[in-house]
Amino acid sequence: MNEKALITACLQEDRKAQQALYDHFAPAMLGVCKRYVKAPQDAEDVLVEAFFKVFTNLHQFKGEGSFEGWIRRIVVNESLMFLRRNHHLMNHVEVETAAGLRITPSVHEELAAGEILRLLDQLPMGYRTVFNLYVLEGFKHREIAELMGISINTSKSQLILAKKRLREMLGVGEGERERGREGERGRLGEEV
Amino acid sequence: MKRQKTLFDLFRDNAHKLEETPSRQSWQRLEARLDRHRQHSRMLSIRQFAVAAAVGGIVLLAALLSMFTDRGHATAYQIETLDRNEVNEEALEALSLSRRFEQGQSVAIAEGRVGQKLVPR
Repeated sequence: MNEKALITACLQEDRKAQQALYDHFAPAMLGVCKRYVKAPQDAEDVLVEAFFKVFTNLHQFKGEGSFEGWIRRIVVNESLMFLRRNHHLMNHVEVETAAGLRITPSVHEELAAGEILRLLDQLPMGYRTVFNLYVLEGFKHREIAELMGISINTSKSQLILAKKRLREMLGVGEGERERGREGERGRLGEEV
Repeated sequence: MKRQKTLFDLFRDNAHKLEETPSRQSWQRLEARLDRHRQHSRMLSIRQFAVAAAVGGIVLLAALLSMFTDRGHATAYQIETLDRNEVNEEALEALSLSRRFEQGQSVAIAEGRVGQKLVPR
């Protein structure tokens, strides 16, 4: 069954089609939830809530953009709502320390899933959320500010601090930092 | 030469590794939630239908009542011809006199021209 047929069947509340759609997209979306929400059980709760909204608001999907993108947006919003409900987004102050954690990416510059999570876990929730939204979802600072209810400057400064913290943890040297800066200039130059 | 990855690239290129199949319980919870939602939606539809039907019934009842009440008023004012023995002669004469008096009052008195006067017939 192709995506369009699956959506049509889901709109008719066909439970098998709903399960097929869930099975197809849930693994990637759980990955998204895990980047925002620390506890695995909470991440699954957010996933369930997000998919409930996907199915009950499916009639709002006009088929104009990517369906996966539409689901991802709901999952991200649901994750942010979870963080807001639990007051995690109020924590803009550095409360955790990166001391003692040092991850060295392999020679192929690969990060394992566990390493990504460990690195993200070391960031204060504000840094982590801005980093996720900017780097991995591709939001602009203006959009992040609206989503999180913070100022554009706060969003920018949190991204800079998140990068600084991650570089420290990854043990990125000065030379590499400079190269990294050049590589990111295209993106950061217009935003930060 | 291979380009050095930036910090952002490092995360973007490896983020897919976080993908993980959720536990079976998560689908069961979602399914239960969807079942409750479907049941609730049906109950809501039935309730809305019931309210609409009740309002319709009340309007219909009011219309019928109004129709019958109007018909009752019409019979109350219907004119019937009295039987001969039902007629009260004195009352009839009094009514006739009263009508004649009213007619006499309504006729304007011709005063005539200058040089004429009003005298009893």
